[in-house]
Amino acid sequence: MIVAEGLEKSYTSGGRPLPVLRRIDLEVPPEAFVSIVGPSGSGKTTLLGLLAGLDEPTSGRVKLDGQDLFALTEDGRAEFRSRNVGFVFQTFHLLPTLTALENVLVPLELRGEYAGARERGEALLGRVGLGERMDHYPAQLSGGEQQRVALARAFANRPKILFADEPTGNLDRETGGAIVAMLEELNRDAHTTLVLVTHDPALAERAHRVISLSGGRIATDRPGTAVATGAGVAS
Amino acid sequence: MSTPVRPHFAPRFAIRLAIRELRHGFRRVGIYMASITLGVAALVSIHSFREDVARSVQEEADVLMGANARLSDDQPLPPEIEAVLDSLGGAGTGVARVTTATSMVFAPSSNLVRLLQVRALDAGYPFYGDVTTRPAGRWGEHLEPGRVLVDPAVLTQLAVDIGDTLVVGRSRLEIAGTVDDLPTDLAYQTAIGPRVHVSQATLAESELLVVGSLARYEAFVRLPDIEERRQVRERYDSIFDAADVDFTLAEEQAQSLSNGVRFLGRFLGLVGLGALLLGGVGVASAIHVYIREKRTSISVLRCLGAHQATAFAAYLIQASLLGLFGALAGVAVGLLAQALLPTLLADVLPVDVTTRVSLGSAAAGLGIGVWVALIFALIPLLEVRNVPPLAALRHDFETTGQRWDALRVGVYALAGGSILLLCVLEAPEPDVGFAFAGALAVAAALVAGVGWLLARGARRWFPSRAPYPVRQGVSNLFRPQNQTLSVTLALGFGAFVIGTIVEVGESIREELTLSFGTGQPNVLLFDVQPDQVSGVLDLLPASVRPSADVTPLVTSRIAAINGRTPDELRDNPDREERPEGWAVRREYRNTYRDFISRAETLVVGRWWDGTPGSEDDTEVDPGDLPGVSLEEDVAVSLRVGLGDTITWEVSGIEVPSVVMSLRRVDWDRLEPNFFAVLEPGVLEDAPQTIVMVARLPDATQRAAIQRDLVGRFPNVSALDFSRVQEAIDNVLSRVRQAVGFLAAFSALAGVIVLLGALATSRQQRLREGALLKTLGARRRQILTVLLSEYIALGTVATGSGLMLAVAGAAIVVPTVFDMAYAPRFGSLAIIWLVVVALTVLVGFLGSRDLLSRAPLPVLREAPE
Repeated sequence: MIVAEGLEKSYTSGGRPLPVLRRIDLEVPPEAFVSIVGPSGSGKTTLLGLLAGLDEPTSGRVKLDGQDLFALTEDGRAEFRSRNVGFVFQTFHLLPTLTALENVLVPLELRGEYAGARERGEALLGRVGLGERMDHYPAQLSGGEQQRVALARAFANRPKILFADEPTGNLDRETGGAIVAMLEELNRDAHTTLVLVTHDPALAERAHRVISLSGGRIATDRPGTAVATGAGVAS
Repeated sequence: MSTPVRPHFAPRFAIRLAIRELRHGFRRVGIYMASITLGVAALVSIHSFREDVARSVQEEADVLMGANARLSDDQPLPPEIEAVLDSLGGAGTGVARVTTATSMVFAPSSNLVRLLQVRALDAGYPFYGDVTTRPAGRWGEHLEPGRVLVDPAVLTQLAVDIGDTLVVGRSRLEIAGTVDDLPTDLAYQTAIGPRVHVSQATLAESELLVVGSLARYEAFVRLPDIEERRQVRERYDSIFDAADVDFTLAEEQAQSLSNGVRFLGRFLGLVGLGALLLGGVGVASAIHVYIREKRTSISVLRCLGAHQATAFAAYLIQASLLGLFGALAGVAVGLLAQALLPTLLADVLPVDVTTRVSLGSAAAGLGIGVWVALIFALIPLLEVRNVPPLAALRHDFETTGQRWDALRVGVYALAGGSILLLCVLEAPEPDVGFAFAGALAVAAALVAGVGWLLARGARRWFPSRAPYPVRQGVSNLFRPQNQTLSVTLALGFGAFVIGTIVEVGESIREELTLSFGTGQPNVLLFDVQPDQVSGVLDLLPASVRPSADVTPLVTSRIAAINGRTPDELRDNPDREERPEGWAVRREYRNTYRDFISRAETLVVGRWWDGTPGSEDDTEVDPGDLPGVSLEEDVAVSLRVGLGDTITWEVSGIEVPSVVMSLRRVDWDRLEPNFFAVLEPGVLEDAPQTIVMVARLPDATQRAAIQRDLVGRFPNVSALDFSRVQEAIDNVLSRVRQAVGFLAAFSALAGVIVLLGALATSRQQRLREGALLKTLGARRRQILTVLLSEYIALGTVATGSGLMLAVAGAAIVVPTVFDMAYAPRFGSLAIIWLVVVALTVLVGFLGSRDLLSRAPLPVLREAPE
């Protein structure tokens, strides 16, 4: 499902190359739940960005669902994302000028899918417990509610792969826990491959697999403890 | 299971997103539309005004002339023309003769005297339009013996009332009433000399007209049928032409009357366009702010799979809609303001202008407004394409530089081409449009460049020992995402336009004061008969008498050049050798004297006494003939040079002369100047009138002379230049007001750009203020930071604009107006003060929550 081969990324700083990721090889099977952990500056977000095709690597390649991402143009990758990929961000990133429902509809409308879109959006918002607040603007929602809208949006286009970047980072523990439970549930029902970047060890351990980065390299790649103890999510 | 991937543009989504975003952000972004609103308002009011003037003038063409056609000459109409008029009159066509002379009019009751126009009219004139008199219904009484109707200004100038007596030449006339509205009047014509209206018989009795008197002889013809007018022209054109009498149709007069106003309107159009383009800068700045704010949203859209073109289209649609609403508001404001221009310019307009809503002007304003909004929005909108999806993950992620791809190059070319096209369309002539566009580009580049230098200089050389808040304020000009450049451009450009208007206007006013002022002659006495010279001189105070210029005028025509008659000259097939028609046919008023006047420079040949020309001192031996000195340009038009013979016809007698020298004449000097000056000794006995020029500094002296003249020499007229100066001053100040009215739109557009710029850095300022407060800064210190920044910004912007205004005036005043220029630092300082005060005011209004908000909530807000 996700294949990264020899992935490297360096930025130029003060005229010299500054490597952020060094030779990452990675394979994530369909419907897996992988978390990426590591200290600040270890390259977690850069890796997520490359896997989602948001940035181009210095070398190496990424295949999602058999498609070589960097053989596509930037717009080609955007189009690919609109069909296959969902996102959840740390700061929710709802469009502030759209209502909750309109935010959820964005991925569908971008694909030109108007028939039945509204019903699907309403169903998804009902599923995350916001059936009564569909016409509210982000500013009128709490952080947890905003992230729930973001979850509904992430699943709107029935993605094959979902990338989540610190989805609980801006939430208190209790709200964060509820969000993760919801994420796991939606993921399970939709048979989505989930890649999650987090600082939160407890959250990371709920994944099938925990990849730990350090200095731009994969330091460890092991099963999540929750899976090992049977408390995690079964694929 | 891979899905085929093909870039996918989603227009429907783009439209939906645009409408949804606008629904939310309209109130906040709406203010920026105002910059387009102002520009469109200026353009629509100008366009409508131009249409109103053109329409009013054409509608009123017959009324303006009072007839359908006019014959006119500066001497009594010759018998062959009178014959034509008689035959027209005999066939039932209305014909009315009007003779206008200038004369001193005396009011015995107040003992005052003024130079007025005396108009003698036949019954029936004007054929069109209603004359309003006070008391009502008195039009026609001027035809009665011993009665006169006067312009209302006559009553005030002579301190008389209806029923009082006026002395016009040898006639004593009773004022029967005032002519409050004569439809044939042009406001600016009556500004110099108000009129008294009498009958032809009264004029003859007054004995005002003697040989060589300055007068205009007109015959007005009523020919309502346009076909008939054409036939008259066809049938008699050769006679009119041969007699050198002007034949003008009402519609032609209307056309030429509105030419001047049309030019003024076009010029104002350019000023309006300047305001609109500044509005464009406002839009660019606002969209820049908007797109920066939307950066995260755009990157999220890209993450969710939006095509670059989809995101770009969504914001392009928003910008277009904003431009459309802004322009619509501008059309509304412009149509309201349309009535203001005719009021401001009433004194320089040929007719009472009626305002009418013009769909054409509104549509043009709307179209131009949306177009300008769009092209200026496109430049910052290109940034949408550069927002990477990665920015959703990393706030600090910046793209490197701008892409100079085909689209960017195309957008800039489109913007440049559009501005050029608009300038050419708005300008009176394409050349002026190109020059204006070029000047605009140079001005914008210079304002921005000078602003940049000033700002850099301020940062570099600002005293490092200045208090911290002041240094912080000045260095804020360079904060990240600063809008110093666009504010400098907008405010600086406004200051440049206003500064140039003030500088050029003041220079003209000062030059006028110089021409009419100290040391210059200010009284012109004309139509003095040769036997009246000593008597008139006796009326002047003894101190003035020696400096009075006495100049004879001898009316002459060219009988032959080098022995060839005007007809033979005209038949010359060689264009190079054929003299220009006007120069050969015109009536010359020549003089004779033995000295070169103050307004003249001898350029070629030698004066009678041997004084050499400055460029060529060839001496010509005239033999037995008298010498003549020609003005250099008329010599070119006549195709003559040194040694050529010109034979003048003076009252039927031929006077040959030899060209001995060429002179350069400063026509701007208010003294009699001549195309041809003859050697003394030939024309002394020819019929002539005398012009006298003197300087009478004292207004009461001027009044006394004028009064005495009427008593003793009624045929002599005195023109008091100070009144002319007042009239010109009045017209100039009206034009300046109109230009200033439009320049105000530019200044307001500048303020809106400033508001936009402040909005860009609002978050930054808020956080900075909160941080300073947390670190212990008092309100007063934060105020000082703000004050320093706005004063620095205002000074940099105005400084660059005013420097350029001085440079512009230094070029325009000498080249266009042929006057000397020196900057007026007083008025420049006032402009600077006003703009800086405005900047500070707007700045404070835009940042007042910086002072009032508590620091903690501000610092806790997530940075954008």
